[in-house]
Amino acid sequence: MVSIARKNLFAEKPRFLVTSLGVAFSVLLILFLLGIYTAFSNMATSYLKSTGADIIVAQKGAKSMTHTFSILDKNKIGLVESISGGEAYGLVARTTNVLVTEEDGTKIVDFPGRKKGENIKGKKAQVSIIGFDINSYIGGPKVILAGAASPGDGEIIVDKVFARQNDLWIGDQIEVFDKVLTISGITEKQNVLIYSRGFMELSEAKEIFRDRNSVNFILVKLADPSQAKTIADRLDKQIDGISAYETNEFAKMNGEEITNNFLPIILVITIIGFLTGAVVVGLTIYTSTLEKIREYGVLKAIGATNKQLFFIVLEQALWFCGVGLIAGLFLTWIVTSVATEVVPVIMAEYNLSIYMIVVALTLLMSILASFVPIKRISGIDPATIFKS
Amino acid sequence: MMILDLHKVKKVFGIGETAVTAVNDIDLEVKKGEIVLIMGPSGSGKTTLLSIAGGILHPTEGEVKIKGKNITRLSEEELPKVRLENIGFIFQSFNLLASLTALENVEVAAWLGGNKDAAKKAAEVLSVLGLKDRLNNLPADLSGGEKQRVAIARALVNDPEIVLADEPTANLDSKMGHEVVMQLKKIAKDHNKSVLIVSHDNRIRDIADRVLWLEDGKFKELAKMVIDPVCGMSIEKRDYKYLYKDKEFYFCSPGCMKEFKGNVDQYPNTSTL
Repeated sequence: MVSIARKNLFAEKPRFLVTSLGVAFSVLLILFLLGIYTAFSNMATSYLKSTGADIIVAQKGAKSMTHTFSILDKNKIGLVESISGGEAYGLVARTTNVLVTEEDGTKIVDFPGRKKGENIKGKKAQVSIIGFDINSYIGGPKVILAGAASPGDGEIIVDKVFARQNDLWIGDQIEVFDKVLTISGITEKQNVLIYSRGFMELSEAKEIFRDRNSVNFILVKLADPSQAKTIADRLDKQIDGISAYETNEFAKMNGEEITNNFLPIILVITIIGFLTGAVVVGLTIYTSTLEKIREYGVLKAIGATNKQLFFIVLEQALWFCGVGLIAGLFLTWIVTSVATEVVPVIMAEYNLSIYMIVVALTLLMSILASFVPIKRISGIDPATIFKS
Repeated sequence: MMILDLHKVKKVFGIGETAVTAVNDIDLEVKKGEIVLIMGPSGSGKTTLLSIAGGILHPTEGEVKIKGKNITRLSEEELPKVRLENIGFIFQSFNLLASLTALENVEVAAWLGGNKDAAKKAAEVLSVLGLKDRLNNLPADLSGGEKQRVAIARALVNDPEIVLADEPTANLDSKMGHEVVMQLKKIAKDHNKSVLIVSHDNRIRDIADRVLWLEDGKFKELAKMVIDPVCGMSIEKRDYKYLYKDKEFYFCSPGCMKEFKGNVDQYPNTSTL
């Protein structure tokens, strides 16, 4: 059957293209934002999920690695190990400012007699220093893009975004407190908007923070990971001053702490994007319906029902939104590629759920837009077509 | 067999002091295969009557029956089906869908009528009407006569019992108008369809089985009708009368009468309708 909707649309190609482009930009806005949100949500949890630990032990009440502080006596590592029956390792995780350039903007080059310390001026960046056991590699970075996987003495592994933002690479140096560290490896997905993670050997991290007798967290590797919940509860009950969590539970709390702050903002902008698309399509559908009102009258006179006419309008909206969706996906791919290249801190990840959300929103956009002229169509008096 | 039966049909627009009676107490029967032409001045109620006969407009009073079925009180949801199955419409300004080809314009009507092979049926009807080579042309690329033939094809594609035509020759030159008139005759005589036409065009009188004169919403006797020798309009033998060489001439307005008096030699004799 000939599609009146499609014929009408393609008879006016410029309008069709402009409206579809409006939808495409709306899709771009929604998809890109959701992609950024997903990327940061994942980054907030992916490290913890990939530590290799089944249980994470923190100071009593500490629920995340980001906004709550946790200090545990190093003697608790042995206690945790004996009660859990697994292997326990200390982990240092402290966020601090690190010096990435000298005062004059040049790269840091350490030499005997160079001034060091917190008062030194120069470009600084926030880094969460993660000190982990390099032998077991529990708590270490999962992916190494370049360089060595295990940092040696005076070495650190940094995130690629951090490296790009500060024009650093393997062999370059940064200063943490008064300790100059050489970048020995580059990892990824360790940039959590407000800070970036840097990985180094556990005892060296303790030295830097001048706290040899404590760790921030204890990571437990079990022989049988399915027992994690039971053992975490046991640790909670038997050791004073600690909170033990299954790794995934702790990761989830950590993620929520970050994403919950962003979710309302993302939601509002997504709604704006959605409404913009709906209004663009609605306006076009409405004006094109008004222009074709006589033709709708003719169809009504020869026997078309209001329902059939409504489906013509709905099909038009679906065409706008369908083409807009495809163009929007393509635009998002381009924008993501360019934006992540030009602005390293921007990260976007897309998964099936996001695509499904965008498709559903676009479909909803079509339906809402079709409702705009429905009253006008149902009110057409077919008798008016007899007036020449 | 009676196809269309209008009984004491009345249509009033507006209410109270602003009420206008467009059609008043009309009785009309159209038999199978009959061509009925309704003539009358502008604003006489012709189109209103056609709309009521076509189930597009509800009468204020009276009854409308198509093939014996009373459609007067059918709802807006029920009437489209009645129109699709029983009535074909031909409009003055063709009213083709601009973005559809000739074939598609007819195909849409066939599809609405539930024809499963709508495109094939549409092509057949258009071919019969001599448009086989114009199937894929948009209305903008067709002549006036071709457009009206497409409109006729659209009216016929669902094999209706009655075709209602509103000024079908109004936008056509005399040759094309004649073609359309002949098509309407074929519809009635070859296909045994009833045809109800409202028109000012006297050429249609030649093919009509009956000619009715509608004025002020009522049918009037044709014997009392004459043609204004100046403007050619059909008018009643009434107010503007002028006796010239023992012969009566009637005019639609004082203007036409004045024109006639000033140039009396160049006008032909009046004739009774």
